[in-house]
Order: sequence, then structure tokens, then C-alpha cells
Amino acid sequence: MGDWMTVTDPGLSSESKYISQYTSETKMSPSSLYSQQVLCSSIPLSKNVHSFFSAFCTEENIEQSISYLDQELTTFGFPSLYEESKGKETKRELNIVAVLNCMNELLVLQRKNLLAQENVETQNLKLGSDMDHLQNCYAKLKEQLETSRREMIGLQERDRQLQCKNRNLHQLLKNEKDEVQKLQNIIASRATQYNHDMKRKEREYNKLKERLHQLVMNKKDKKIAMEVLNYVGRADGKRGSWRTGKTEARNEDEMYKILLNDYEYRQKQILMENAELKKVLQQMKKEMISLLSPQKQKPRERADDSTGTVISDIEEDAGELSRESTWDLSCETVREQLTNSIRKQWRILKSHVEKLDNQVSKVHLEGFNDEDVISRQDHEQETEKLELEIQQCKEMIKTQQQLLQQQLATACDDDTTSLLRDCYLLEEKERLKEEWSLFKEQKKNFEKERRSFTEAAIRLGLERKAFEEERASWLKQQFLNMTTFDHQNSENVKLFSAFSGSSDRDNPTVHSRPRQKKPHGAPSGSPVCTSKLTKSLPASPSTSDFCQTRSCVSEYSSISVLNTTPEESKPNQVGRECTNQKWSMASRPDSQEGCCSGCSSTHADAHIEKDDLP
Amino acid sequence: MNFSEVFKLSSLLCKFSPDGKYLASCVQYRLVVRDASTLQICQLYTCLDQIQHIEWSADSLFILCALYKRGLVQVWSLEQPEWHCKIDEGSAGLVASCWSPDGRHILNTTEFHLRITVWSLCTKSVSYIKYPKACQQGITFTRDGRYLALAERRDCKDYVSILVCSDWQLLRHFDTDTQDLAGIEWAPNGCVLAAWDSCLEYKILLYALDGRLLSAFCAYERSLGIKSVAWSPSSQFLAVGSYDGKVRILNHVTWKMITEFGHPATINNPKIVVYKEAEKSPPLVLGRLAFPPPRAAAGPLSSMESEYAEACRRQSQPQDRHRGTGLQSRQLLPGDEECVPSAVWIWDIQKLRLLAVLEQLSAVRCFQWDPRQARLAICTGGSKVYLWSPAGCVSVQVPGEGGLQVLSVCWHLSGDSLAVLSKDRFCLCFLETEQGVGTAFGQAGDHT
Repeated sequence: MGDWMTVTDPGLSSESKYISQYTSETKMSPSSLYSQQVLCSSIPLSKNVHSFFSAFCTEENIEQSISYLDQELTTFGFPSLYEESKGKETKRELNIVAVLNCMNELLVLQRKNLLAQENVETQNLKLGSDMDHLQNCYAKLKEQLETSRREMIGLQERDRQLQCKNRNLHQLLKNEKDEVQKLQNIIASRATQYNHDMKRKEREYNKLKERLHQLVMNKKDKKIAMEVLNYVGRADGKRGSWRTGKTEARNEDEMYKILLNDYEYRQKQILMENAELKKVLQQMKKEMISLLSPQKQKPRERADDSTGTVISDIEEDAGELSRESTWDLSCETVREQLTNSIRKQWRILKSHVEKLDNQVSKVHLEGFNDEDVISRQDHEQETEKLELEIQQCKEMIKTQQQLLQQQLATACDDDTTSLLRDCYLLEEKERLKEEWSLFKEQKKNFEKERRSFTEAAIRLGLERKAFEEERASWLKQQFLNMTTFDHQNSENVKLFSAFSGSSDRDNPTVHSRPRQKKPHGAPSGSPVCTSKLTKSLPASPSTSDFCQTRSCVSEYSSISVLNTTPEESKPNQVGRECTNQKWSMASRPDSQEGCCSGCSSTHADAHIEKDDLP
Repeated sequence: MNFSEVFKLSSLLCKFSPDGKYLASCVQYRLVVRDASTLQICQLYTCLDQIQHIEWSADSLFILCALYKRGLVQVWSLEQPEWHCKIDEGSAGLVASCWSPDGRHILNTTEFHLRITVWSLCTKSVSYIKYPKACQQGITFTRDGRYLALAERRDCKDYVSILVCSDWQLLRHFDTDTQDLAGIEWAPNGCVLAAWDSCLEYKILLYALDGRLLSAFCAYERSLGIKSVAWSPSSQFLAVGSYDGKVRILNHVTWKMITEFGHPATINNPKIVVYKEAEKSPPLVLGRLAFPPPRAAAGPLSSMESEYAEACRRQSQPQDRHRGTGLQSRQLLPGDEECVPSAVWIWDIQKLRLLAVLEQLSAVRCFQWDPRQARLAICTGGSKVYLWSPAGCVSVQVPGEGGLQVLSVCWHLSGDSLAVLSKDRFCLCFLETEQGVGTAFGQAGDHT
């Protein structure tokens, strides 16, 4: 700016100040500067308008202003407004082109700047809104923070209260415990006191009793006495014995005897029970072995080691069984063996049963849905059938009833009628028999005819097939001939043409259709080949039939060849493609009729075949 | 079912002789002995005062009549009517008197349980046993009559003495680990003695004949304990009824609990038959009671529940009566629950489950098993006798002017007849064959 100020003319100080003001304004708001600059630059150039800004350029200071502008522009890097001076003496001319260029550039610049300004403004707006948003967020978060802080404080308060409560409760619990302890102590002390008192009382009571006893007994109470008329004998008739040491010993002996007897009795009972249980166990074991032995094979196939060993154990056990039965004593080892083996077998049985259960459940689950549907269908069908049957039966019953009623109605002279009926019946029978035999014969005839028909049909079908094969091969050959060797072709044609005289039958219709259908084929297609092919055909009929068919095939092949040759031989010499087309074209019209007929015939044949072959 | 004519009776003293031939009954101070089948009076004895207790000797030759008020025991012979014997306990007083199993000795307990005097009818000898304990069941003889077990109390400790009955010699004397021994009872085979503590503590101890402690059983602590104890006739099981309303069955091998029978307020198991006594609406029909099957419909069920509720209310009232768990039949164990005084519970020991519950209209006074078969006679203080058997339940109206308030029943040895006792009268009920039970009388109620 300073430079700029120095460059400016002193006369234009006021303007420069203006501009400086403007430029200083640029820093604040570039838009206003630009607009004013534009105004400044454009207005004085176009015309002298007496406006507030027109002071920049007047009639008088055009030169100065131009030079000023030139200076200004050059400082901004624009080309000079003046033309290149040729001489120093000559006054520099204003270059209008340069001015216009400058103006244009300035305008472009201004537009750019405007755009930039707009962008900046929008950005500013955006940023402002962002700012607002962020401020809002901030406020919200602040609020949240505040609320959470408050909550935290509340929770802390609650926690504190709860802790307080807890402490109080602990205290209470402690107090209660203490109380309980105290009470228990009291109870215990009371109990001891009670016991003590009781004992004391009892002792006193005993003392009193003792006293009483002495008093009562020592008084020599005359009253205490027994008056008996006469003493009776003992129940066992013996006399009472004196009390001696012997009797005591005897009593002891007797007591022990009784005890011993009791124990013996109990032991016997237990032994019996044990024996029975053992028997049951043995039986169980036997049954288990017999039950499990048929399944030996299966687990072995599975190659399961554990089961295998267990099974071998079973076999051992089975071997031991006979021996074990002799060991009836309750030896511990035997018992262990028995229980162990039974446990093992029981485990096997259990697993087996579980497996079976699983299988059954699976099968049940799987089979359930399918079977269910099917069974339902079956069921419906069955019910329908049964209903039909029932209806039929009902009808039958009805008719029977009717007949019976009729019979009853006409039963007045049953003898004669029955006789007559019998006669009629006999006659009818005979007639029926005759008819039956006739019918049978007819049936036989029909069957014969049918058989012959079917045979013919089969033959026809076979012939047709063979013929088609032949024709295909022939076509192939034809094609090959046409494509590769004209010489050979011609020779072949000649050869065929030589055959042409021998053909007496004529049915081109059958061959025309497939001829169009099979343009491609194997590259090697000689008559020898075709014969081979026919031979290799999968012939269903017997050998004789086969021979027949072969002969037929050979016939047909010759025929087909002959039929086509008269038409093709001539154009072949002209050109392959044309002839081909011609031939196809030529063959078509005459084939059309026959094709249809042939088609229908073949179809019919096929039908017959289908019907009869199975 | 036939009833004999009604005879007079006092203080429910009526007993069949052990051989089943005679029936002794008391009327004030007279003792009447009748033929058990014909009811003809065989003998008539006159005592000095009102008889308070009678007991047949084991050989059915003598009858003991105790006159506690006067401290006297009078013994009568059935064979020699002129024979008499009078024992006077004098100023010592008398509270209990019983025969020894041989039928030649009488054990008299003096007042305050100062001592037990053993009087012999064969010799002049008199034995004294000191320090008998005053408890519920302090004397018990073995079935074979060889031994006597006696609870004693010395120096604030419980002891049990085992004496040989033939010469009253002490065989064993041992202290029991009890606070306050309440009772002792021999197993029927005479080899195991069960001793239980007082109701303050649940404790039952089992001793062998030679005084060894076989086992002790305690179901729970710190609560009222055992109420009653009963052996099974085979000595295989010991039933212990306690104040928690349960009966526990111990086995004889390990002396551990086999099972526990409660007395549930509601019975849901359809296998259990509940017989409920109900008054039928037409009261003209004499004593006809219906026992509707409990599984019938909703109506009776609801009424039953109300009955149970009532029973539960009664539970809260203090019950002074004590009822034993009788275990007469091997398979069947009836427990009469104190909290449900009107119900009798019958369990099947073979299957270890509740079999039937009999619910009466009024509280059950007495029940007794038929000595021969699974048949239970029950009386409730009304004019009916109830008979239960696995086949069903029958109620029978006892004939008699003004109705006989049946307070007790007593089976004959053969199970053919039943003495039905009321306060001042008694009669004999002759049961016919089993088939006849239900149809013998018109009074016989329906049974299911």
C-alpha cells in the first residue's frame, strides 16, 4: 500500500485516499470494494456522470486517471494500457484492446471473486449453523452433565442412607444376636437351675420317701399281711428253689440261651433271605446272559472295545455259572464277582434298551408324518370302498327282500312252479353253455388275429427303423460325396444309376422327410459302412427276424438310393451347392403328400408297437 | 351279629379270661364270672369294697380284685370258690396291682411308688423291690413270662432292672441315658427292650436282654417328643408316635426308620379310602349310617374338607387325652391322632402306605384289633360300634333301653365275640362268620 501511495500523483491524493479507503475496506468486506471499484472503473470510462464517485475521472484528468489506472494495473500484473512507444518523443497512445482485455479480465476476476465470496458466505452460514448446533449440543450436554451430577449426588446420598441403614441393621442384628445369646444363656442357666432344683427336689423327695418308708415299714405294721386260706401249688407243679449262686448262674445261662436262640433265629432268617436273593440274582444273570448273547455279533461288528471285553466277560461268566452254582457259600470274592458281573450285564442291557428306545422313538418320529398322510389317504379310500360295498350290499339285500316277497306272494303252487323253473333253468344252462363255447372260440380267433396283427406291427416297426438307418447312412455318404470328392461321387452316382433299373417299387415319400432332418453325419459314409451299422443296431427280434430285417434294409437302402439318384445325378455335375438346394427343393414338393401319409402310417405303427410290445 | 342281653357293670371292669372260657365283670363290690359263650353265671364273689381293678391270672384260675381305696387286694379262685386270699398293704397304700406271668405272684405298688411288694400265693415269702419309678409304663413282662423289666429312679438317674420272674432274682441292672424315663416295653420275642424318654425330649433307646444298648433313635430335637410306642407282633417293627403328629416305623435289624406316616389334613390319593360317618336324614331308621365313598363327587368332598378344617381347629385346643398307636395286626397299624380325635388312620405295613381313614362324628374313645384277623372295633361314646376290616366298614347300633353309650370294647380271644361296655352296663356282641357281618342285622350300615 505504501508503494502504491508513493506512486500516486499528489494531485490525486484525494482519490487515492478514497481508494485507500476502499482498499482498506477490502480487508473488511471485499464485496463492497469490488462493486465500488467496478463502479469507479466503469462509470468514468463510459460517460461523465456527475455522481459522488465521478470525482475520480473528469474531463480534465483523463490522462492522469488513465496513467493512474495503468500504473495500478501494471502493479497488479496486468499489461500496460498504453501502446508500445516507438519513440521517446511520441506520446504514448492508449491501447484500447489492452484496456478491454484488462476490463474483461477484471470482470472475470470479479465474477470469480463473487463466486468465491458466495461460497465463502455459504460456508460461513454453514459454519454458523454448525456453530449453533454445536452450541446447542454443548448446552444440552451441559444440562445432562448437570442432571447426571445431580443424580450422582442423589445416588450417593441414597447410598449413604442405605449404608447408614445397613449399619443400623447390623447394629440391630448384633443387638438381636446379643439378645439371643443372652436369652440362650438365660435359658441354659434356667435349665441348669431347673435341673439343679429338680435334682434337689428329687433328693428331698427321695429323702422324704425314705423317711416315709422307714416310718411305714419299721412300724411293724400289723396290717401289712396276707391272709390266705391255703397256699396253692406252683403253676409248674414244682417247689420253689432256694436262692443260691447256682440259680444265678443258671439264670444267666438261660438268658444267654434265649439271646443266642434269638440271634440264631435271626441269622437263619437272614441266611434264608440271602440265599433267596442270591438265587434271584443268579437267575437274573442267567436270563440276562441268554438275553444278551444273541446280540454278541452286532457289537463285535462295531468293533467297540469296551463292549467286546464285557461280552467276553459274559462268556466267561457263562462258563463260570456252573461252577458258581456250586459255590453256595457266601464267600466275598464270589459275591463280588456275582454282583460285578450282574452290574456289567445290567449296564449292557440298559444301554441296549436305551438304544432300542431311541431307535423306536426315531422310527416313530420319522414314520409318523409319512405314514400319517398315507394312512389318511388309504383310510379315505378304504372308507369309500367300504361305503360302496355297503351300498351294494344294501341293494343286494333290497333285491333279495323283494325277491323273497315275490316268492312269498307266488308261493301258492310252489311244486309246479319250482319244477317248471328247474326246467327253464336247465334249458337256459345248456343254451348258455353253447353260447359260452361259441364265445370262447370267438375269443380265441380274436386273440389269434390280434397276435398276427401285433407281429405284423412289430415287423413293420423294425423295418421302418432299419430303413431309416439305411437312409441316414446313405444321406451321410451323399453329403460326403458332395463335399469332398466329386470323382468318387460321380462314380458312386454312376454305380447307383446302374442300379436304378432294378428298382420296381416306388415310395419316395417315406424317405423325403428324414432326409431334410439329417444334414450332418459321420464323415465316413460308404454303403459298406451302412450295412455295418445296420448290423450293429440293437435288434430286439430273434435272429431269423434279424436276417429278414437285414434283407429288408438292403432292399430299402438300394431303393432309397435309387429314388434319389435320378434327380441328383444331373445337377451334381453343375455345382454342389446349387444341386443340394435344388435337390432339397425338388424333393420337397413330391414328398409333402406322402410325408403326411407316411407320418400318419408310422405313427399308427408306433402306436401298435407300443400297444403290443409289452 | 347278635347281641346278648344287657348286664350291669361298674367302672368298665369286664374282662375275658385268658383261655376265653369266662367273662368276669364287676358290679360295685361284687365280681361276677360268667361263661363266655352262654353267659350263665358261674361264680359270684363279694369283695369288701367297691372293686377298682380286676385282672385274670395267666392260667385263668385266679382273679385279682384291687380295692385301691382301702389298700386291699382280694384274690379269688375259680376252681375252689371257697378259697380266698386277701392282701392288705396297710398304711403304705396301694396304687397298682398286677399278676406276675406265672399266676402265683402279685405285684403291688405302694403309694408314692415307695416300693413294689411281690406276694406269693405258693409260699409265705414276700419280696420287695425298692425305687420303682413313677412313670407311664414302668413294669413290663416278657411274653413268655420269664423276665420282668422295671424302671427305677435312684439318685436322679434312670435305671432299668431286669428280674427273673421265677425267683425274683436280679439279672441285670443298668442305667439308661434318659432325662426322665417315661416307659419301657419288651418286644414280643422278649429279647429287646424299648425305653423312651418323657415327652420333653424325643429319644428312644433299645436294649438287649443282657443290658447292652443296641441303638438309640432321635427323630428331632427341641420339641415335644414321643407320645406312644408300640411293637409289631412279629417284633420286626417298632412304631413310635410323637407330638409332631407323625408315626415313625423302625426296623429290627438296623433300628433305623423305615418310613414316616403323617396325618395329612387333606387326602388326595385316590387309593386311600376315607370312611366318613354321616347322619342320614331320615332319623327313623335305627342307627343306619352311611359311609359315602370319598371319591364320589364334589359335594361330599367339600363337606369332608370342612370336617378337616374343624379337626384342625380342634388341634389348637389342648388335648388331654392320650391315645396309643395300637399295632395289633402285623400288617395294619392304626394310629389315632390326637389332633383329629374323631379320625382313625389305618396304614398298611406291607405296602407302607395309608390304607384307610375312618372319620367319626364324635371323638373316638377306644379301638381294639380283633386278635385273629384284620378287624378293628371302634367306639366313640355313642350307641354304635364300628367295625372296620379291609373289606369295608360297618356300624352297628347296640340295642338297649335308652341306648348304650359305648365307652369301651373288648375282644374275645377267638374274635367271635365282643364285649361292649358302657358306664354302667355291658353286653356281648356275637359276631358271625365274615359274610354275615354286613347282613346280620338290619342296623348294619352300608359299606364300601
